[in-house]
Amino acid sequence: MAGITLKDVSKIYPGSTGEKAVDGFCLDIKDKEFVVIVGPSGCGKSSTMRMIAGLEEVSEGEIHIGDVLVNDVQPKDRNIAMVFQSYALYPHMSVYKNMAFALKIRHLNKAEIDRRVRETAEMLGITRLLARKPRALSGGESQRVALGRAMVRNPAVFLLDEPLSNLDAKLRADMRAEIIRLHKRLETTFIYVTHDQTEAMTMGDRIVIMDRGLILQNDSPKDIYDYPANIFVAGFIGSPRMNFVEAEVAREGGIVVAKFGVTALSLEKTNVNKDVLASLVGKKVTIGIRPEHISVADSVAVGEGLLGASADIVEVLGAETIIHTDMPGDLRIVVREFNDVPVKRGQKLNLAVQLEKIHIFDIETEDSITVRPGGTPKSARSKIAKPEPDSGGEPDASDNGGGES
Amino acid sequence: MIRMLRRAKPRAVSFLYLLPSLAGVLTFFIVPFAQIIRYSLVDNPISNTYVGFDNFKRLFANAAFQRAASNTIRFSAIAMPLAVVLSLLLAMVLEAKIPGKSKFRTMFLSPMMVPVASIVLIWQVLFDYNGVLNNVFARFGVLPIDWFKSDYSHLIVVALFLWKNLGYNMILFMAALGNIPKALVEAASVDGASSFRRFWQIKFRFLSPTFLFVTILSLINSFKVFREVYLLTGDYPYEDLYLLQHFMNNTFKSLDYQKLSAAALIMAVVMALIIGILFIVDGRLGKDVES
Repeated sequence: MAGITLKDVSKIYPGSTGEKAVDGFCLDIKDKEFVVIVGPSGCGKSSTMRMIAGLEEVSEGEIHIGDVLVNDVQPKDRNIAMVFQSYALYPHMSVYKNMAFALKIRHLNKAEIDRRVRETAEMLGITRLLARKPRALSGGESQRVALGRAMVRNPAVFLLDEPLSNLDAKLRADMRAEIIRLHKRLETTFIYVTHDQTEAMTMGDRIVIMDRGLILQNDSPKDIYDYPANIFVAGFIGSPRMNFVEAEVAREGGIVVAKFGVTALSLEKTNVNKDVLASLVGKKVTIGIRPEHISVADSVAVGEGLLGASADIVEVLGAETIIHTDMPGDLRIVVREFNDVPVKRGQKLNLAVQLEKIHIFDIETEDSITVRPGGTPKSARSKIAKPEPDSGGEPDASDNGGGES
Repeated sequence: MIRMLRRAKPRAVSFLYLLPSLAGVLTFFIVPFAQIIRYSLVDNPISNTYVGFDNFKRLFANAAFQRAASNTIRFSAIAMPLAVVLSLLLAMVLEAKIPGKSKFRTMFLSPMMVPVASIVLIWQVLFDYNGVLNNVFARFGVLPIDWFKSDYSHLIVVALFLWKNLGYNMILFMAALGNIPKALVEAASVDGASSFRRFWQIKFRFLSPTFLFVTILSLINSFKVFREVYLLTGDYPYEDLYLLQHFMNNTFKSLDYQKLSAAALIMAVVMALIIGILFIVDGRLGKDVES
């Protein structure tokens, strides 16, 4: 069992003209924590994991596992286990031998190897597969064997590199739950790399969002969803993605509003410092509204703003309906409606916006201006991303819906 | 004709398509081979009297054959494993991140581009009694050695063989190394495998088909080294360099077809046996890893 500390870690690949694949990555991962590193392809998440595993050299900075600086420590001596995207099962060995491989290398006696392999296989429900070769396994079975091969060693840290991306949607959902259960059972540090926001939101105690080698936000899933630090994070987490509208801040009748198209929405209820809000008057900002914070309404309740739009595409998903709407000024707004509202294409709609849920972003830096209650706003594109003392714990189930695709 | 073809069974049609290549194989391989078997069992091609295994007994008792066979076996036993192991080592070195990789690769491949006659000339310039090497030795007061008529002659031919063949083998191994799934090797290193174990238990499994191919190729090439030796030293070289092909060449010149056929058959059987064993070994090692 061990925590991991990354101090200003950078990765420059040879022949890349000095471009940093990972740039000044700072992260403290507590013992037994489940951290998900998420970001689009090429953001540096896999490079970061491979540096932790020792499969890539660290170009700059330090990686500590426990109290040990491991920059120059061989992968085999780091006491880590890794689950690969391709599973990387040894094709010429049976499932049993695949799982026993690492234990044999450590010169454990046969009885102990047998006990551990069978115990782990039992835990994962793969005992009946032990004699099979990898080519005779399905995707889901291979995935379990790969997990088993990692578990059997009782490593201090589990590294999982997009382990579910080769599975179909149903199996992926099952294995997601299985991995969460395993983490609770094993009580070991898990680092999980994915590009799938649903996996990130549902699995991690903490999510680290990366883009172009930088950490853009490091927070609990709920805080990432509620208080995205910048436009990238706001757009990356949540499906359908957040609506972004360029607006001009103005004061109308003593109220600060965001004007776009023919509409003005009050910003008075947003979590923005009053002085900051006042200083924005006359300036352009980007405002962000999640589709689930807009609904189709006949009238506006207290705390809501009204938008006029016409329905373009209507996606009925059963439990919810996604409505793509057109607004005057060539604006497109997506609405996620949970009520059973019959909407037809071309129908004129009144949309009610929950004003306190509006996010405001600086139009140039793309950082959030919204203040987080009880805390300072997270600096966007920050190289320093220490965990919040209270950021651990369970992701709030009520908010996970935002991450489901 | 077309109507006839349509009516014919598909099997018959497929034989028809095979006919041109079958004719070639029959004319140039099967018929001559059958002829060789017949020659090896008769007293001479004119009287055609069956003599059983007399030709083989005569062959095994022949001192020149014994010398040629033992020289050839010795040469192949040294040159073939060296050609395989050294080219694999070279490929692994060039696979690693070393500077000037492509230059080394070209350097090792360049002997392939040189015609045999030129290769022979280079080695003659080096190892002739009045050659470069003896000249250099003379500067240090060492007496000249007639390299091709010394105990070193065998080693020189091994070196020549390696110089000529390493590059091609190396390219084959480099391609095979490049095809080994990277994640498997990485998984093994995370699992705690040393570089030796990673090579032996993971990489070698994937290399085994290429290993087999390179071994067979090197074996065949080691039998073919006669060409260079013949051009370097002629019909009757120093006795250490007298190879099976010398024997066959000279037997052919003396028109002793029976002995020649018996020798050729023995050689074919021995090669088939060795290649058969290699296939069995590869079948065991390469199982499961070949896609």
